[in-house]
Amino acid sequence: MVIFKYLLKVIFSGGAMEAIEIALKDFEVSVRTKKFQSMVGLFIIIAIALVYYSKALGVSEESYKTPFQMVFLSTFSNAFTYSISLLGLLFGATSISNEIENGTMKILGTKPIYRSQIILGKLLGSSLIIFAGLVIFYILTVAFALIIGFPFSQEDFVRFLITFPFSFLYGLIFSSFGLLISVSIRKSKNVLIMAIFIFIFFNVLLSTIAGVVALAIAGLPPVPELPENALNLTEEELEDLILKDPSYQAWLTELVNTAEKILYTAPNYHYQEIMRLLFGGKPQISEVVSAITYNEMVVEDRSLGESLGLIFQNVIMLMIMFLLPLPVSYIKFIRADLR
Amino acid sequence: MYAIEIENLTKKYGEFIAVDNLTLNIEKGIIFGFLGPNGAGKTTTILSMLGLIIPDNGKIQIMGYDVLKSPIKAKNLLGYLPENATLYEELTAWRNLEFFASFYRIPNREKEKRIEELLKLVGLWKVRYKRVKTFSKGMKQRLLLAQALVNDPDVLILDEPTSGLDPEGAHLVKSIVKEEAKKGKTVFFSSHVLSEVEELSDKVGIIVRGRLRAIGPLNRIKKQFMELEGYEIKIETKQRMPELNVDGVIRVEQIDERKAIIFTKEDIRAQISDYLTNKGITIVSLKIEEPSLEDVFLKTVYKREGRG
Repeated sequence: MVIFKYLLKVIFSGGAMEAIEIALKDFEVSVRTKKFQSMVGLFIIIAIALVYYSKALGVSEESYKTPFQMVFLSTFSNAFTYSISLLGLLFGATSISNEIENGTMKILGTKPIYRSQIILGKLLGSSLIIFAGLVIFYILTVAFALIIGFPFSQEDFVRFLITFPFSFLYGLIFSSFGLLISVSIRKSKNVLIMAIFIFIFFNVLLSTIAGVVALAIAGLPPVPELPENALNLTEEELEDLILKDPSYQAWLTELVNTAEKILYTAPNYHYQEIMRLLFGGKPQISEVVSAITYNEMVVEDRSLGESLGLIFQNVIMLMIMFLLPLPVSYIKFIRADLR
Repeated sequence: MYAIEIENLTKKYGEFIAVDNLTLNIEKGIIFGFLGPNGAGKTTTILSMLGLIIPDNGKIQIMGYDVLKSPIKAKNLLGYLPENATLYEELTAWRNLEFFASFYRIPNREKEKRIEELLKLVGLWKVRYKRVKTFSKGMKQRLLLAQALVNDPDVLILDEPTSGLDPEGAHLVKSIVKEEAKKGKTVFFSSHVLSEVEELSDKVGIIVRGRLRAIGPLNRIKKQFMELEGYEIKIETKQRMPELNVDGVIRVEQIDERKAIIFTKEDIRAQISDYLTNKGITIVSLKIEEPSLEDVFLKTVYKREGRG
């Protein structure tokens, strides 16, 4: 803590010092709250579950090369995605509204600091909390993996560590959304309701909407031309026939592409794409869908450098999503009456 | 230069005018008591003075610095104790003060010395490493006062400073306010406790519906009030009091045959004295019964609000 404080003080100087003081105070306050402790508890459970079930399930050798690839490319990683977004939203959303409700903002606002320093401090404070939460999660995951005896290759480890800054950026996006809610709504109860809505919207609603819209555009799946002996085929053979039908594959690709276009506005889509691509997932989701259909590998041999090259667009999108709410929050806070 | 200068301050919340073209100047080194019923615009005025509320119109200067144009300079000279606020409950008393002191660029050693002095002053030194959430309401209020003093401000703004305090705590706050004023600091405070305002204030302002209805030293306000509302002259005579046929007497309220309260339009004690002396009556006492601040306040408020 002292070293971190010192480093921050060395890095920043002048006006940013006040923002750092606010951030460190927020961090000190937050880590003592039940909210943070519950989040850490959730991370511990996820870390244990992640490692334990990965080992228990083993590797689906048809599709993945290592257990860690499987973990990160399967829907199981959703739990982690949800947790980071929840962490960012909860701490971002309550950072200003709580202070207004408790009356501490009235005191802070009368100290010789600019409002821009307060909002920067709040953002830095949420960032510190997200950073701390993620550090705990990453350390615990590695520790549990080693304790349980999970096969953990050096490459897995490196790729896992490389995901850290992107997980952090992903958390920051929700913290930035949270900050916007915090400056827009006065009552912390309403702020929490809004935060939960945003959480559900991005994690559940948007994917459902994307699915429904994509289906509406692509229409019903085409009926393949069946051979004369279709009645003699087994259920599995029939399913295989339908899935591998070129017209069905074309329909599926259109469906996936349309859904992807809608999901492009969702930070969790980009984050999961980054995770998938960093762990060697095939570049296009339609390729993955096709690979699953034909029982092929959903991953490919790709260097880390190549994988990093593939995520460039997703990273840019995440950065835009992080930055976009900030000027709005700033303007709203500068003009707000701190009653 | 005044310590606080408020010029044509107006603040609206939708259609509701919280503060209506308020102009108010507070001299340096005085204790100013700000009175008004709930919703009169006291807190809005205070929050505007602190730069927490952005007014629709008007200008506010603290020690010559505009609170909106030069907020840092103005806020460096301010100390503020809010009403119904708390500090960071998860932090200790010491850490709370250390945090707020960090914005004043005070050298570390000096800062620690100041925090120690303040915690001792408000009687929280022994519990300095305890978290604020374990404190009673009174202890929290005293810590709030300490944070307001952390920068040794030239202008101290207190919103209901004794609210929620026990008599001992209230006494401590009042003595600190008096002490600060003795040091030449300006204290601006709002309170519902009229006896407290009467005890502490050099100057009083009464705000009703966002407008300043009365301002000045308490004795002058009382005089103005009497000139407006009439005088109450208390009289005691040695002999039985005769009927008073003196110009200016509105009515006489007889307490007993030798004591009475005379209601007049002006101070006509000399005429009353002459009249009774001519009648051979000896006057034991003849004095003006000063209205209490409560009388002045209630009459000002209710008259303006059209009640009573």
